[in-house]
Amino acid sequence: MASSSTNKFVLKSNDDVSFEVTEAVAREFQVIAHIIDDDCAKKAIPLSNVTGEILSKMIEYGKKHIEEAPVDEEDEEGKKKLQIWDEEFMKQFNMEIVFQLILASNYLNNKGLLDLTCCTVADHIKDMTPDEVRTLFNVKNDYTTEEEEEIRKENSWAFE
Amino acid sequence: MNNLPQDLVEEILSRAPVTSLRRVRSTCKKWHTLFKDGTFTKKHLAQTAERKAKGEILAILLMNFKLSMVRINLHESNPSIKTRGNLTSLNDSHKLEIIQVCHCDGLVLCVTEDYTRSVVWNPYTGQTRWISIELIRAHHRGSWYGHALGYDKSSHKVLRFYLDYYTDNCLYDIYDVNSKSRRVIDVTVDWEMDDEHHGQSLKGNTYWYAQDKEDSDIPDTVTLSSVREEQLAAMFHNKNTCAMEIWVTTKIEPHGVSWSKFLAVVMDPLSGTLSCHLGRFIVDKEKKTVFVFDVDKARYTNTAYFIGENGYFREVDLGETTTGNVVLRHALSYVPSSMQINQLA
Repeated sequence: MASSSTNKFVLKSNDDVSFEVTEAVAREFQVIAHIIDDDCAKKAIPLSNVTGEILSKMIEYGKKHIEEAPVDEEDEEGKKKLQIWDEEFMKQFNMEIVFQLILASNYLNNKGLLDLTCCTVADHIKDMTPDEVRTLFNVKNDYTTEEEEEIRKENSWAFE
Repeated sequence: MNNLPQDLVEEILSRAPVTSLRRVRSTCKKWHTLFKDGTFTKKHLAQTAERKAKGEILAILLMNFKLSMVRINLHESNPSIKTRGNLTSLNDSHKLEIIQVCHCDGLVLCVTEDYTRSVVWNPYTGQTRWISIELIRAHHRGSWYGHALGYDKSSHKVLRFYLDYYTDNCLYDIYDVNSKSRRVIDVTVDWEMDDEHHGQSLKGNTYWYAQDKEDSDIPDTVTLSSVREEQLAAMFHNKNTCAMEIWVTTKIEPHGVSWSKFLAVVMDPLSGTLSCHLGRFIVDKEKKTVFVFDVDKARYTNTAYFIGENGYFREVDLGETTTGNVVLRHALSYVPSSMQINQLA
């Protein structure tokens, strides 16, 4: 049996874009790891919920985290380097893409990318008005004027 | 835009920084309710703690009458301090000037310049409780008192003390936040406390540095702090020899405390700048580093010092100090908690 570094798999997006990746990169995504373990990965693995654009970014993330994985728990320098790369990596995306990455990393089950993308949105909210937050998440302001005043009172002091 | 399923929205919100909680709560009723839900709050607090594990310490700084929340990154070659938010009060259109701050289990006591308007505040839940304590003597000023926040089974309490320089006596009283009552503590002691020292709260109790009245010629300045709200830490700085030592408690009992030495450095090259008189400090146990917040004597700026083993020393300039020594510098390591003011189980 070939080792996981030479063994290749093809991941296919829902808009028919194919990516050849090593087994190690494929295994970065739990759902794909299960497919491989169940020996169902004969040819291309179709991923019905992910577009080629998003999948290519996820593979880029997966590759980096395989290649530059910290040596062990103590490898502070390695962790820091990867953390800086993660931050730079996220800067290229607008919120719409980040939301798609959240959905896709949840679907393919990559905890690291899910955490990173969720943190990106959470930090982004910090500089937004409540109205902008509502637009971003597509939620309605369901407070009455009195309730809004009540919330204001409850939260009169804050670090912002 | 996108409609994320509720579980993913919660994944995002559970990572919301403390500094965006006011916005998040005022977005819609569902989110407001979410942040009152115990299970979710627990998850959110755990996420905040995880970020700390990545080498960042969440802290509250008081400088130039202003309170801010910062993230201190103890990265060895390049430590940094990033401001995450400044205290903004919606119902105080006029200037809010804070002169002292104490911290106890996620609650913060802010003593304002106008002493009648002090506040116990939970920056995580947003809950505030105004407290109004009379001055012990009418001519006193609030800044003359040392304060501490603590609690027992029934209520949160504010302990104050005042050093009367003429009689060399200390006056103490304790304010019960629940019953809004003040009780004078009548004690005679054979030790003395300096009103420039800060009390350090730990698990509801408060500790102060005191000296034997007969033996008050110790050349060290001493400051207290805590380590992860579990241990006390004491910093000794000898002005003559520039030696600095940090001790951390190994055991705290009702009538005795055992200590072990955590760090000892000779600050020789820095003796010109670090005043180390009134500065507060935060200990990072894993990295064996101490963060000291003080004034640079030469430039008169608020300065953060990172001090560690083997001569490790870095400083970060935090800008001009506008209050001099009228307002002492405070740096408190802050751990968010959902503790309600006066709902002590």
